Formats: sequence, C-alpha cells, structure tokens
Amino acid sequence: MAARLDHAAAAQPCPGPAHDDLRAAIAAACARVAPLWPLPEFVAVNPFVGYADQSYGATCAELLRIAGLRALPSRQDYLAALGEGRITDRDLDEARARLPASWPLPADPAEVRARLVAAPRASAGAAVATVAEVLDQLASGDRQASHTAFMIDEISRFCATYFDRREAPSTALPDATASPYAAWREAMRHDRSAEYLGIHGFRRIVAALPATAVETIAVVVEALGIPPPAREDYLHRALLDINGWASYARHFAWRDGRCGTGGDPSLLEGLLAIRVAFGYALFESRDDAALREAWATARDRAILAAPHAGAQTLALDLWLQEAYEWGYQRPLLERLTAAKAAAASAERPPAQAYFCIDVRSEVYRRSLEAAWPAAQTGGFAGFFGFAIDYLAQGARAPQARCPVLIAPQLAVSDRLSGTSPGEQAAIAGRSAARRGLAQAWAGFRDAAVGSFTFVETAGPLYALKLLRASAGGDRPPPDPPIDGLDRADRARLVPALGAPAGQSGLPQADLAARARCAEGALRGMSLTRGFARLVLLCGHAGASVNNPHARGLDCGACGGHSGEINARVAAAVLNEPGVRAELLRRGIEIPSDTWFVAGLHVTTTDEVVLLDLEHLPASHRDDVARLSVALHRASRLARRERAPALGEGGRADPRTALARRARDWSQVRPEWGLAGNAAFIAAPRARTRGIDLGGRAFLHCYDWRQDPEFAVLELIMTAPMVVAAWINLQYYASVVDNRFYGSGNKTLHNVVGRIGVLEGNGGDLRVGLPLQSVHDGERWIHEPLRLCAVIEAPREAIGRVLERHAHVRDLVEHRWLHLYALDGDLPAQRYAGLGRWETLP
Amino acid sequence: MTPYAPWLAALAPALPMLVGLLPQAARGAPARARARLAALAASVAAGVAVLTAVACAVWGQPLATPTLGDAGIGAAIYIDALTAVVLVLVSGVGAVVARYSVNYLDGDPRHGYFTRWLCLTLAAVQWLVLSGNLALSFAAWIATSAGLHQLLIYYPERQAAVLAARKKFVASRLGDGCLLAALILLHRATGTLAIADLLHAPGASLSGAGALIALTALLKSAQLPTHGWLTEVMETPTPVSALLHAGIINAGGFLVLRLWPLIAASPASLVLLLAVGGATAIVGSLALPEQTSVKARLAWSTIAQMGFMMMQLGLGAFAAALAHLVCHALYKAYAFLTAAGAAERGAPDPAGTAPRGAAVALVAGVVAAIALQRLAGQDMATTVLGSVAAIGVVQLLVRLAAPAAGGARWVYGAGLAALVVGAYAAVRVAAEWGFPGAPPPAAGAQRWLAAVLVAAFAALPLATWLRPQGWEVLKIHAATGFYGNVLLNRLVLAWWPAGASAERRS
Repeated sequence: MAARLDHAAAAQPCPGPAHDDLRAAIAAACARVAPLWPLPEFVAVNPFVGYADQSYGATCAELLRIAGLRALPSRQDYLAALGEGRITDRDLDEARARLPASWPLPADPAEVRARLVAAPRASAGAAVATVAEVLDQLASGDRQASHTAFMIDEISRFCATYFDRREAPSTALPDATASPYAAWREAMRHDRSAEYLGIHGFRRIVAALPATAVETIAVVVEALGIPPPAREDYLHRALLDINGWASYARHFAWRDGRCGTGGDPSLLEGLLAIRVAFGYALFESRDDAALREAWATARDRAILAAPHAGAQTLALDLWLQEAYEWGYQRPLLERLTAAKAAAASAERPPAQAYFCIDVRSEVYRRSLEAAWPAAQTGGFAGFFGFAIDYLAQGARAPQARCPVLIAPQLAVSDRLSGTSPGEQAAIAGRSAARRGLAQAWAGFRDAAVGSFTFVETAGPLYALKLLRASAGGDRPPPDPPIDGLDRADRARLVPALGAPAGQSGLPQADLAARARCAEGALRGMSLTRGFARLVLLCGHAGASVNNPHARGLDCGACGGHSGEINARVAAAVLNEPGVRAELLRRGIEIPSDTWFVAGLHVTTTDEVVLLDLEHLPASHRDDVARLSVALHRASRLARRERAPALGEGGRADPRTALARRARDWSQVRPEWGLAGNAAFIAAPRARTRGIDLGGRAFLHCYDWRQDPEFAVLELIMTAPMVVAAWINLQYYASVVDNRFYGSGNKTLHNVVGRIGVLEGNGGDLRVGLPLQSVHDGERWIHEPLRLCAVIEAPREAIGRVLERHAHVRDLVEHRWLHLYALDGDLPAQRYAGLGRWETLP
Repeated sequence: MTPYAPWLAALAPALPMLVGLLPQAARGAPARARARLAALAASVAAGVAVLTAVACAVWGQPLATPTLGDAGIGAAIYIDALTAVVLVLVSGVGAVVARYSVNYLDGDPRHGYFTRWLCLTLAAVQWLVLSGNLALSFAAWIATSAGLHQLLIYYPERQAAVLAARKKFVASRLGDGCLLAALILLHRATGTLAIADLLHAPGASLSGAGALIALTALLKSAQLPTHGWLTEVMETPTPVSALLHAGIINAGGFLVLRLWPLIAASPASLVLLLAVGGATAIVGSLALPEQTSVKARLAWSTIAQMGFMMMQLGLGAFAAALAHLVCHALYKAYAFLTAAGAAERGAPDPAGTAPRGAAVALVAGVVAAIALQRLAGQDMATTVLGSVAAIGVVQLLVRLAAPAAGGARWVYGAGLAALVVGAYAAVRVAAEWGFPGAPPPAAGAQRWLAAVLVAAFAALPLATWLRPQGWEVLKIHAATGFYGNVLLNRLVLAWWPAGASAERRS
C-alpha cells in the first residue's frame, strides 16, 4: 500500500500545459451538466441542454453507451402505441423519410413489431466502468454493502452540508475550505465512515492526493489507467453518478443571468474531483489481484466496445419516436391549415384577455371564448415583458420574477397603500419584531437542550394543528412568505416600481424605461392597435400545501413564482398617462377609454381573481362586471374539462373538490401542471380559435404583418419557444426515465435545506419532476413527445432568426424540437435541416 | 356494571383490525375505497378512545377485567389514566395518519397492502395500550413489531429500506427476548401476569424483572447503541414515519410507565434508564444540528427526545415522562406529516448568535435554578428537570436578545418567555394530576449521573455559542451520528447479507 501511495505521489504531474488535454476533457464533461434551481424557484430545465451541440439521436446513443441510460420511451411503450393504433403504418412510412437513408431500417412497417418483440431492450453494450460498480460486481454475495450506493450517499451528505453552509451568511466558510474539493479533503481527514465500513486507509489515501481538483483528477485517471481518449467519457460517467448535486452546482453559473457561461468552474470541477477521488480511494484500499484484473477488464471492454457509432445504433427506436411524434403532429397541422385566417372583425371587441402561454391557459382561453364569444383572448409569456426584481414586504433579498434566461431590469417592492410614512414605519417595525420572534421560536424548537423544553410546552398546541390540517384547514403559503403582517395590512400591499435605497442594484425605472417595457410588451403581444375598452393581463399560479415542488406549478416565465406581481405592475404602467403619451410618440396609440386590469389565474382551481380594482375608473365598472360574469362561467367550463383527469369529474362544477385538493396536506397531485404539453404555436388567434387543442399547446399571439423587421419573431423564437422546449424536454425526460431525470416517488421525498429533495434517506439530489406529477398510478399522463413548434411567418424570416442565434439553431438543427412554418393559406412547411424546408402534402 | 364492561373499549383496536383482516384490495379504485374505510374505522376508533377516557375519568378508579385465561396468563383489559391518555393519543394520531394515507398513497401499486398493514399495526399498538395482562401485551408487542416490519419494507426493492428494517429486526428480537424473560421471572415470582395484580406486588423481589423491562424499553426506543435503524426509515412513505415516531416508538416508554412500581423499586433499572437515556439525549442533541435533510433531523430529534424521556423515567419522574411522551408524539406527528413543506418555511439560523454574555446568563440560570429548587426542598428529579428547562428558557432569551432585534422584540420576548414558563408548569401540573406517583428516593449512583448530565446539558449550548477548539471536528463526527450506524450496518451485513449488490439504477 505504502509503495503505491508513493508511486501516486511521484506521479503527480506538474501543473501547466501538460494538463491542457485533461482540462479540456474536464470542461467538456462539466459542460454536459444541466442546471438545477433550488425548490423556492423551481423552474423547468431542459436536462439535455448540455448536449445541444449534438443531435437528439446521437445524445440518446451516447447516454446509453456511457451510463446505460435510455433517453427514449421503452420498446414496450412503442409496442403498446403500435397496438393501440397511436402509431400507424402511415406514421411509420412518412416518418421514415425524415431519417438518414443509410440507416438499416426494415422496409416493411410490419417487421417493426417483430423486431421489437424479438429484442425488448435495445442493446446497451458495455457502459463506461466505474470502480465502485466493479467492486459491487466482484462483491456480489460477499456480504458487502453496495459501494456505489455508499459512495453516492457519502458524497451527497457532504454536498448537502457544504451547499447549506455556503448559502447561510452566518456560517460563512473560511477561505481554506471555500472550494468543495478543499472542504471535502479537509473533512475526510477526520471522517471515519468509510473506514468503519471496511474501506481500509481511506483517510490516508485521500490525504495523499494533491490539493487541487484538476491535479487530483490527473492523478486518478493516471492511476486507474484511463487512456487520454477515454478520459472525457470516464469523467462524464463519473459526473452522471452525482448528476443532482452537479446540476445544483451548475445553476450558480446561470443564476446571474449569464446563461451558463460564467460562474465559478471550481464548483463543478471540485465535485468531479471528489467523485473520482472517492472511486480512487476504493481502488487503492484493496491490493488484491482480483480487483486489478476485474477493473482492467471492465475499463478496457468499455473503451474497446465504444465504436462511437452514434445515433444509428438506435435507428429503430428513433424511427418509432419520429413516427410517434408525427402521429400527434399530422392531425394538428391538418386542423391548423384547414383554419382559414379569418378576416379581422371590424367591430371593437368588448374586452381582450391576455394570458400566459402556459398550456393550462389554452383550456381557459377556449372556455372564456365560449362563455363570451365577443371577447378576444391572447397569449404572451406570463411576465408580460416586465422583468422584475421583486422585494416583498419584510423580505431580506429580492426575487427575480422573469424567465431564468434573462436578467431582471426593473426593481419593484411592496408598499402599503393608503398609509402615512409614520404608519408604514410602525407596521414595518411590528412585523419585523414578529418575524424575529418567529425565528427565535423556531430556533428554540431546534436547539440542542432547548428542544426538550419546547416539546413539553408547545406539544399540546400541536394536537390542534394536527386536527386543523387533517380537516383541510391549511392554506397555501404565500410566496415569498409574508410574515408578521396583520391580514388587513397584507391586503393593502401593492407592488410599486422602485426599491428602498441600497436594496437593489438596478437603476430607478424612469419614464423612458417604463415606456420601453410597455412598448416591448404590447409589440410582443401583437397588440398595437384595436384596443378594447378593457384589457385583462392575467398571470397564473398554482395552489398547493405541503408540496416541495409547489413552485413547479407556478409560472416559469416569472422565475418559478406566481405571475401576480408582474401582471399588476404591467397593468399599472400601461394605465399611466405619462407612459401612454410616450407610447404615442413611439407609434402606439392606446385609446383614452382603454383600461388595463390585472388578474391571477389559479390553475389548480381555475379561478380568476381580478386585482387592484380600487383604482378602476367608474366608467369601467360595467365592463369589469361583464368580464367577471364571463370569467366565472369560463372557470366552470375549464374546471369541467380539466377535473376528470384528476378523478374529480362527474360533478356539475367540481370547484369544491378542486379547492379541497389545493388545501389538502396529503395531496400528491394537486393538479397536472403542464403535463401533456406537445406543441408551441405562434400565430394570430384566428388560426387556432375554435380548435380544441386539449391543453397541450403553448399559444403565443403573433401577427407577422405587424412585425415588419421581424424583431418580435426573433424574440419569440429566442425566448418563449426555447422556454417551451425546456419545459417540454423536462416532462419528456421525467417520463422516459423518472429514476434518473425525474425526482422519483413523492411519498419518499426528503427535503434537503431549501435546495431540493432526496428520495428516502440518501442517494443523489433528485432533479426533474416527481413520478406523481406525470403518472396517475395506472398510466403516464404525459406523452413523451418532442415539442412541435408551429410559427405563422414567412419561412425566410424564420430562417434568418435561425442563422443569427446559435442556441436556437442548435435546438432545431439537432432535432430537439420540430419546426413548422405556416404562411397564409399555403400548406404547412416542415424545416428539414440545413436551411431546407419541405412542403407537407 | 359487569366486570367485563371495560372490554367495550376494545372496539378501538377491533375496528382497524377488522379492516386490516379483510381480503387485500386490488390497486386503483378498490384500494382507494379501502383506504377510505380504514380512515373511517380509525376515526371511529379514536372516538371510542375518547369515550373510554371519559368513562375512566367519571369512574375515578382503574377499570380492570378479570383475565380470560389460565394461571394468570391470558387476555384482560386495564384502563387507568395512563391507558386513557395514551389510547387517545395513539388512536388520534392513527386516525390522522389513516386519513392522510388515503390521498398520499393514491395510485401506488400496493396501496391496498399499505392500508392493511397500517390498520393491523395501529390495532396492535392499541391492544398493547389497553391490555390488562402481560401475556396479551406480549402478543401485541410482537404484532406491533411484525406489522411495522411490513411497513418498513413497503418498497422491498429499496436496499436501504431492507437494511434499516433488518437492523430494527435485530434490536426488536433482542427486546422481545428480554421482555419474555421478564415475563417468566414475574410469573414465577407472583403467579400471575395480570397488570392489576402486578402493580400491587412487592416490588423489591422483582428487581431483576424490572431491569429486563427497562432494557426492553431501551431496545424498543432506538436508544444507543441500537438507534441506527430509526434514522433510515424514511425509506418508507411519510405516514409510516408519522405513526412510528408518534405512536410505535412510545411503546417502550409506555411499558415502563405501565409497570412503574416495579421500575421504581429497582435501582438498577433506574440507573440503566438514566445512563442510556441521558447519553442518547446528548448524542442526539449533538448529531441533530448537523443533519441536512428534514427527515434525518426529525429522526435524530426523536432519538434525542426518547432519550430524554428515558432519562426522566430513570430519575423516577414518571409523570414528567408521560407528559413528554404525549407532547413529543403530537409535535412529531405534525412535523413529519408537514415535512414536505420544509423548503417553504426555511430553516432558522442553527447556532444563534454567540455573545459571551449568553454564556454567563446560562451558567447563572442553571445555578439559580438548582439553588432555588434546593431551597424549596424539591426532590432530585424536579431539580434536574427544572435545570434543563432553565437552560432551554435561557437559550430562547438569548435568541430574542440578538442584536438584529427591534425594540418591540423585548416586549414580545418577555411575554413569550413568560408563556413558555407558564405552559411548562401547566403541563407538569396536569401530568402530576393524571399520574400520581411519587419519585422513589434517589440512590448515590443516580445523583452522580444526574450531576454529570446537567453539566453536559449546560455545556451543549455553551459549545455552540463559543465554538471551542476541536468543535468543528467534533461536528464532523456528530454528523455521522458518531459512526454508530455505519458500524451497525457492517455488523448486520456480516451476519445477514443483503444479497447481491442491488444497483440503485438497474
């Protein structure tokens, strides 16, 4: 042992150009990791965002080759789809033409079934080996706990402590242990867990490793004998073992609006070094020939057996997937092309209602149009173009309420309306004191020793709390928590532009900035003329209690929060006379009798609440009354449509049942969220009005005739379409492999800090959606289909956007989504890659 | 009233038991209907428990039936204040948990199986509480353990769940052995296992049985060194944790309380309970703040709280222990069932702030508490527990005095501290009223142990505030629970292999 340690020390390569290849391999492996936002701002993430530079098919093949992961529906699922007629021979025939002609596919669709039955699993080959897995294979029946599980548990435990302390200001880490690798190495000088489990000399082996992450990785790959060409795969495989924590580390680079380009690389490198060092310690703790031999065999088998054949190895599966998707797209496109672009009615609509593009709005908009046929509805990203940094009353730090792909631009903070500054100070002081008291009480509850007294004093109160919660008496908590305010004061909170001095780095929003936001919003909604008397801007939020992933039901375009604040700010700015004057100068004339009103669509119960009505001019009271009646009716229609999927059908109005779900502490399926999403349509509503899209489509209003420079098109394709694809791929991945890309069983969820969930006692941090969010116990509620994006605009304009934006081009060229163009009454055009379009029959 | 009338109370365990014995419901709608039936049965059982408690209070003295059986071995019902309080607690928590499981497990492929074992386990605990004969108690004891085992391996494909269940299995069988030996000793000495008779048996001759019962209780309550399984049972759905931490884990404490005259007359048992309970409370208090996941925190909290309760039993403070048992169960059931909302609440700053004045206040508080109580002529148990309460109140006051506090916080803070002291006294008075049992005179060993424990309890907050050298390293060890679990894992794996190394992602 000692001799080997010396050898390892001697083999320590000097830092410098010698590491360049290794550094490149590390960077490439780290770049594969998708970000994961913590629970308080849980937003959808495309888990394949790190693979955007290669095709969907090649990525599926690579994941299978490296980690044995299947990023496609199972062959049983395809067989079932064939059996149900969900995939028809026609779908197969037509989909075939979209795959490379060189692929070895059977000519006869009938043969597909035979091949699926013959090989129920696509061959995985040998995945890239890890030391822990080799040890586990050697140890089977050897009365040893799984080394893989132990390693992941221990790393996960360390990461939880590390990131927890990193986030808490009062327990700031000393500089020496600021990077995760240094902190781990320091902790492993003392932690005897591995040794007590029988991993001899663990602490000594780790202590002998170099002090920096990159050098450690260099030592490990050298000692394990991994040749340079295989290193990237090995490191990639190692990161997949701790994908959850790696993803959390990755999100720091995105959090500041830098889209994953910035941030501190030492975080991810450090985690990677910890992971490979652990495997190395397992390897070095034994010096028997059996392990050396088994390791060399496993390592070389993976290296030799990896011909890097790419997507072709999954040709049959990719064909079926293409056909499965085409089976959804064909009827959709037929219905869309059949809808003649109706001539805009000359009559002024009584009201226009704008909702988020969220697929749940599709149902609601259809319901509202049914309840009030004269009204118009529209769709736009739910932050309504107002990228806000929102400081809630009493909050310590602001929340970004805008898509994670962009940075906040306007500071907004809560004000108490109708109070004097003196009163405001008194209320603020009182609420601060109450919050401090609540903090002290919570600290008392968790204190060593104090907790014994806590239990004996507060215990009886918990009998009441148990009964109240069991009777459904808990309300969904406000986000962010607004504590210490009287209920009456809470109702008086108004989000206002600007922030208390020193609380925000953003400049004060002057008139020009406000008008710029307003103009962006209106042009983005294609609402530059034909304003109704009343325009509703309706954000949305979910409602649930005791749900770690509650924020996942909120508005992704508002950074995983309720859309209420953005809608209220947008409406207030658009009603401002100064802003309207400025807009007039910029070419948008809002009639003086147009009033913007903010609303909130509670998606769990499909209720819509109108907000800030106390500012409503008397002239518009009747309009709002009419709108309220229509919304009431629309809510009932929407509920009747959505409730049966939750098992709450069969009632005239399932309002009570749905409201009960929202307040039920034991409810694991408060609503289905965005399950089912499959299409993104950017077109005038005339194109989709009257078509039942089944709550599966993101609907964005877009009229290219109002967009001479195609600036709005560019915005739509670079932001909402990308966000829709992210959401779509999150659902896709959570269905195809919930164990890896989803967060598993909700009944086992165990919240770590405010970061995320574990499933059960240990294991990696979990990413993605819980099983219960996509599966009802009998079947999957979401069909894993790549997004079908349909844009009504000239092909050339779409092509120009693709040319200019690499990240959008990557998504489209590499088939992470399907892109179709509609142009007037022509047949739909399919983007076939490399700038080519093909006309659909 | 016929002597068999107290059997009416057996309706409480009988209802969930009947639902549990029905043929297992198939998945989907039948399982949902069965879960609703189970919730209804558990709720009615809770109602029966409340009526039983009322009857017990009205009657004013223990309700005991003759033993159905032979030679003092058989089935009987014994209802006194202890039975009434614990039965209402267990049945109430059981009803809440059964209601919770209807929606929580909805859609799970084995929902029917879950409902069955939830009902049977709940019924077993209720039988244990109502039992008036230790033979019936023993049967219920085994049945509780067997039922819990089925719930712990509810997801048998989860290797960690199986390992935890096995660790618990080993501890439980050791406990069963001790209990059986105690029963044999008792029967030999007194010729009966009827609880009503045993309570009046001359205690001194039963010292050996008392010690075995104390050992049984420690093994059942996840005390050192067999605590490891409790920190891992979050491998099974949350409602099981709630039932376990609020209902089943109390069985050990309940057993000691049930037979308290035997324990009180056995100095060895008291010292054992005091030493193991005190050590567990301290280790648990050290490990708890280092846990990062909410359920691990709650599990370590239970270990520490159960340790504290065992310590109270070891001090002979039986009424205080009963109060602790009930209060902890209520708190912990709620804490587990709402654990999923932890991210919304956010964790408080674990350490608090660290002014030197706090240390002085703490030491002064403890010394004052001890001095006051000595002057008032209180017994040792009251003095020790009073000192611990004083430490807790000082901790609360120190947090309230943090520099970030506004002026109004002092007003609120003083009110809150007064409320805490008042509530503490009220709970204690209520417990003494419900469970009159004077603490036995303290032996020398107990006094020494008690002094060490008070010093350790005072040192804990001092260390978190002052962070002495080596504290960071101690915390690394504490985070692992001082390796008790990993050693136990190794031991259990060596004797009972987990089979082929199951991959997590196979």
